[in-house]
Amino acid sequence: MAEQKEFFTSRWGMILSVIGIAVGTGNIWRFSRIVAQNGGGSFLIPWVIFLFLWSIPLIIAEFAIGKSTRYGNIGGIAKIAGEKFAWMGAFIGFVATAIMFYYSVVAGWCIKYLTQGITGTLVTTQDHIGLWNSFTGSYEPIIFHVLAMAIGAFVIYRGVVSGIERTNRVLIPSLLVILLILALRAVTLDGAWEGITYFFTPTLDTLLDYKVWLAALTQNAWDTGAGWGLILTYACYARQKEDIALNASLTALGNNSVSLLAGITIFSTVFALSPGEGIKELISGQGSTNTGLAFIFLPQLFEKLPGGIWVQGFFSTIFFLGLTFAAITSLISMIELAVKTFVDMGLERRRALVFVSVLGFLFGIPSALSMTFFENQDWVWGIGLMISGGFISFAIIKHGTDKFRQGAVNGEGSDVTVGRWYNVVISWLVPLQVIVLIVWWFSLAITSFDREGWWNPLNTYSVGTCLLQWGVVMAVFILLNKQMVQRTLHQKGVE
Amino acid sequence: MELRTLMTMIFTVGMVWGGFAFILLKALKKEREKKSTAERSSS
Repeated sequence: MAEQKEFFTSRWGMILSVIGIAVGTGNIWRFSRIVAQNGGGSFLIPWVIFLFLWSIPLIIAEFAIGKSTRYGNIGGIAKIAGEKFAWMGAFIGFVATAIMFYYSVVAGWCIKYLTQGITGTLVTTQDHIGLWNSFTGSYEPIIFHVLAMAIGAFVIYRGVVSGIERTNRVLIPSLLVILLILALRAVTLDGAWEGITYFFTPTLDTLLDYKVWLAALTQNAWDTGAGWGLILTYACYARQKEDIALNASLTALGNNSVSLLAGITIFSTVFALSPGEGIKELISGQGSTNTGLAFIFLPQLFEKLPGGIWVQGFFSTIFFLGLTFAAITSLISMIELAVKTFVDMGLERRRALVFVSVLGFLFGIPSALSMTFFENQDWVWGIGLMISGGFISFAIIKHGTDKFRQGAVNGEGSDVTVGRWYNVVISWLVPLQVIVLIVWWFSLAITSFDREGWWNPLNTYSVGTCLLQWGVVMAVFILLNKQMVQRTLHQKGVE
Repeated sequence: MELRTLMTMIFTVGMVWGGFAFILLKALKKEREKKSTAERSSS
């Protein structure tokens, strides 16, 4: 077990920090669009079911690996699965880090729009599409990407308690208050009930459609932070007396509670302020689908809020403030993951932070300048997350699922005992879900996204681009496996 | 409101928000128990 110097000071500080990982921009913009595209209430039923079949079991696994080994992804997976599988941990860590490169750009967009809200530009402009296109077509995203990385790096520089825990103790409750204010305003608008009804109404056709179930599983895989390796990293700082099962359940349910609140808010707003046309807009999206909803369509709707320009300005500003909080709390966990990996390898923490920050800045630039590059990275590493989930499951199977459950999950500090059902879910259902998801997304690429060039590694949404980028990363880590194990597990004086 | 809408609302809100509240209360109770055990053993 690695020697750990800093720990979260309380259970609630840790839970708020882990919820900070899970709650991101996807809860607010992706969830609502996916619900609209998949028949409203018909989507919600499988979404709840997969919360228990994917998210909670994998979050339990991450908590248990981090807390029992005190190592980040490379050391954690090596300790659980065996040293020759350390490359799998490195892959998990790399996927989250590759996402950090472009997620920092997303956080930058949120900060930019927050400033637009404060200055009043969002409620005075007539052309929101033009505003978005002129921003993303300029060099400005780089400036805000740097700002987002700098904020994240500063939090990590302050350390686990003064940085991560203190920031999340403030930002997550604030985000909740903001969402509640927005929800209260939304549900009291004339016509809001139509939106809520649409949100919760299932139809038999869509409920029996396998695509809706796959969309619900995908949303759980992307949205809850399960299988990313981020929760594993924070769990390294959990006190020994900390419980796993209840904390993992609170994280997953807390994350989905935020999604539900955001969904009710957005559906109420859309149906009240844009009756008839709003739902079509929500499904089809403007600009780059998810971003189009947040940065183009919702600002257009805020302009229609009754009460005048001050009210409109207030609600658009707090919306982007909430979005910024959600983005920053997730971004800091991604930076911490990368920093912890290098610290495990013997690098001094501040040096590791400088290295990761510079890396994050440089590798984020292409996504800040090109939406095509951004979308390619989102596609490749978004699907890559499913492999990460599979690798975590594999590590536990290799270790012995029942041994893992009894030793790591139900070990010291556990408030409740996780039963044998966990063995079945983590050994059979999670790997099955990984295979189904990857086959499904690749079949979509072949039959729908890029019929002609699905094999071409240079195309944005191709199977080829995924296989090439994953292949290169895996090959490098397999070649470096011995050195990574040596530096992480067998080096004297490592923190 | 149609019955199917009401049922889905109860199911989703009950499982997600209700589940969160239930687990939170359970965690609070366990935390109090842990604290009182620690206080007893230290005294």
